[in-house]
Amino acid sequence: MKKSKYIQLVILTAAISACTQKEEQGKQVFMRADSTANYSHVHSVGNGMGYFCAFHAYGMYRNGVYHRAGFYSSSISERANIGSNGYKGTISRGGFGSSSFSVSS
Amino acid sequence: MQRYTIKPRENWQQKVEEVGFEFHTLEETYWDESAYYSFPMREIELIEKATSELWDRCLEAVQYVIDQKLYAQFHIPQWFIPNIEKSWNEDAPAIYGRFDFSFDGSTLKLLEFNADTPTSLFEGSIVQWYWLQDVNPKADQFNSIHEKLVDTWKYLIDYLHPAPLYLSCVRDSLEDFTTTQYMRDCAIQAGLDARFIYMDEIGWDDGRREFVDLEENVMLNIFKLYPYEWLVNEEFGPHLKEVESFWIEPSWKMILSNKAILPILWKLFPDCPYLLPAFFEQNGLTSYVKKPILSREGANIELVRDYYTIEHTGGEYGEEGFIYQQLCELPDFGGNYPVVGSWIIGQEPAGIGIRESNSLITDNKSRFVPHLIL
Repeated sequence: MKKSKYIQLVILTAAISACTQKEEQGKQVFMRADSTANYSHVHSVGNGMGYFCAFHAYGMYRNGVYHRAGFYSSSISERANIGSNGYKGTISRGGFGSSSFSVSS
Repeated sequence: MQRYTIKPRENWQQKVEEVGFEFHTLEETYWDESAYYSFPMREIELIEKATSELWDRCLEAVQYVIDQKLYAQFHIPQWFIPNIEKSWNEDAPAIYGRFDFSFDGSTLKLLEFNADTPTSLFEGSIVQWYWLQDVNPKADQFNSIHEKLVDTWKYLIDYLHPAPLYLSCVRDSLEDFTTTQYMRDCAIQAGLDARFIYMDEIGWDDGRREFVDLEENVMLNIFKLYPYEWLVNEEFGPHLKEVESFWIEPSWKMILSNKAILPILWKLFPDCPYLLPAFFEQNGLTSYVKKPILSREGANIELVRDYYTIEHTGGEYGEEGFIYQQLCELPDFGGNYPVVGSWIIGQEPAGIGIRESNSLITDNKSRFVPHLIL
């Protein structure tokens, strides 16, 4: 016998299902993570019940001491995350992924 | 090896979607269960034997490339060479690869090795397995991909940093997202704290000189469905040499995923029955395939038979150079041309997935067709 005897998936179907939900029509919501930043349009996540954007604490170490700089969310654009808040510049994102299409090999 | 046409299952789209396979239909049908391939066990054993032997030959070829410092032929940037050698010398964790074979039931030849970012993993492991349960549960299938992925992650736990494993791919590709989430599923089942992050969300902390996640935790173990030739050329690429993180696949796979490995393999092992003559120059070949050393989805391929070009594809690759491989035409099953993708997981052959095209070049319009053993 060569084949698998038993296969179980623990998270995959839920992850794909969440990913392929259709955006709720007719509503436009704008958010920003920093008062110095511009608002940007966000997409609803979930089954039409509302909007969910996780905002993570954002900060940096200076001389071994952690300084909180604000919040950051991957659900909104870069310009809506940082604005002119210079403290958010220590951690940069977007340095990978610019060749952004399927690897398909 | 035979190809049979059959009636697809009723509501097959719903059935494959129930296991999480949402990209069954792209511009055209991708998952095609209106046909299947049937193999006798002796042919499967040949594929298994060839996969195992070629894996050994590939490891010897990597050692040769490193010993002889042949990086220029692979167009690998000078600054990244220490990273590659370190990952090789320290036997950094690796998971998988997929050999692509031309196989007609008797003659088997290696076309290329997808050693860094092989896809069609989920289709091969899960979707065709569920298809078999519905269509012919008493039949066998060359497919222990799932168990071997879980087992390999279990084995690697002791070799990874004692920290979460991050799995990453690009945005906006459901195919890549599914493959990555499937790999994450296997890692979770192996007992790892496996977390997903998109490639563009990975942060670089200039103070700590580390890659960080969205909560600013240092990322020490990173599985990426993202090729090294892209990583090293992007803004954060130079930081790869600074960190002690494990990147999976390890960077020595950059040698094997490059088609420049094909002339090296032929030079080292001309008696290997599974290899085609391959060179960095045309070298007297009258019927050959000209391939860019770095390319995807069958782009920029030229097939030449008796000096005449019989097929070619366009694309954006080729800047880094080409290799010439003796022409080995795919078997013709009524106008369908299959490539057998044979998985090596951990160190073992693990199963196959078949993609077939309407032409001799397997491109991004190829279809995944299931198989069974009778």
